Amino acid sequence: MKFVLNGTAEIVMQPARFKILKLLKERGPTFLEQIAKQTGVHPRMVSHHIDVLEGEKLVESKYELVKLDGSKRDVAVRTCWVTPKAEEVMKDVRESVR
Amino acid sequence: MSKFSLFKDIADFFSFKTRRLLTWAVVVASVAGMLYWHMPAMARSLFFPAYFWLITTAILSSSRFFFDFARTIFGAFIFGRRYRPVPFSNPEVEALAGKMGVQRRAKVFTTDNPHVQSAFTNAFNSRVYIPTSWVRSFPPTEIIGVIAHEFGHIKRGWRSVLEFGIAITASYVFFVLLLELVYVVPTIIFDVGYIAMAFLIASFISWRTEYRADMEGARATGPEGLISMFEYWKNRFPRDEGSETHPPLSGRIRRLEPLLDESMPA
Repeated sequence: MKFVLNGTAEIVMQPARFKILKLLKERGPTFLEQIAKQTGVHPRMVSHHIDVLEGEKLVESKYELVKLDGSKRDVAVRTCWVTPKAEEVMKDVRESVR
Repeated sequence: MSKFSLFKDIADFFSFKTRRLLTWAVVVASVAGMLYWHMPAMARSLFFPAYFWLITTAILSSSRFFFDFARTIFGAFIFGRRYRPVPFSNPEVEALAGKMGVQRRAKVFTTDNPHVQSAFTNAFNSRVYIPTSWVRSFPPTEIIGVIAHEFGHIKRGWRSVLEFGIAITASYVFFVLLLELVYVVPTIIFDVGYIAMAFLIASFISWRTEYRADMEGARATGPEGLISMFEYWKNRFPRDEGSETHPPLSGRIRRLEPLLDESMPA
């Protein structure tokens, strides 16, 4: 329950952030536009939430050049993935809800 | 069990839509009541009991709002004197105040006062208060979004006061004109009708003021922080239907969303 008490869980309980974390946990490293598409959250909101989660060390991200379907040139994407701390926080949140 | 639980149950029973409908019914009944002495005797004998019950129900349905409002005012300004507000100043807040043109007027404080459950602006001294628990729990970008919303209120300060003044005077004049039209009327009907109408108009202006402050804030900082905060609170409230002073969060989010497709503020 330590993350509930220190306020980190409160950050995760924002519904869109929880959705993003859940998706990252299930899918592994995913880039921002894919997260927006999968969750139905606006890309600018996803970027905001990723910044917040990164600030709390729940997510890490880096820019990469990848070849997307049908594109001839590399495209810069921000790939994000969850940290072990995020898994602990989500476990704490689930337990506190129970 | 709290001694107020029955009172709270009754007040909670009425949704915001019902409360607003009842206030409108009071206004309409008051306008009709101006013709009291011109009504047939049968209609007169039915009018007063019905009018009395309508007013009682309208007051009872809004009692929770009045109670909460009074509790916040007394708690924040009278009983809250022992909670000394702490100045909340950092380069980000100062830059935001400069950008929104309120740097000479606006001051931001955090408070531990348990009666202050959300951020608010004291219109008389342009001070913005934020619960300390919010500063601890929410990310800085979202706190800045909330402060930008409050600065939006300060920026529009005198215009909002003027709008409220015009609305209250206009509804008074409306009922005075009605009074003059029909000569002899029970004064109580005039007073009740005027108060109900002023209440509705003040509520309408308050909603508009909130929407405008949202826009002012979002244009200064980007809408992300505010939208995120609203989504959080929307998820936590059992009903998202707005109140006498604030519009529903879903409506506020809907109005801010188009800004996400605009370019980022400089």
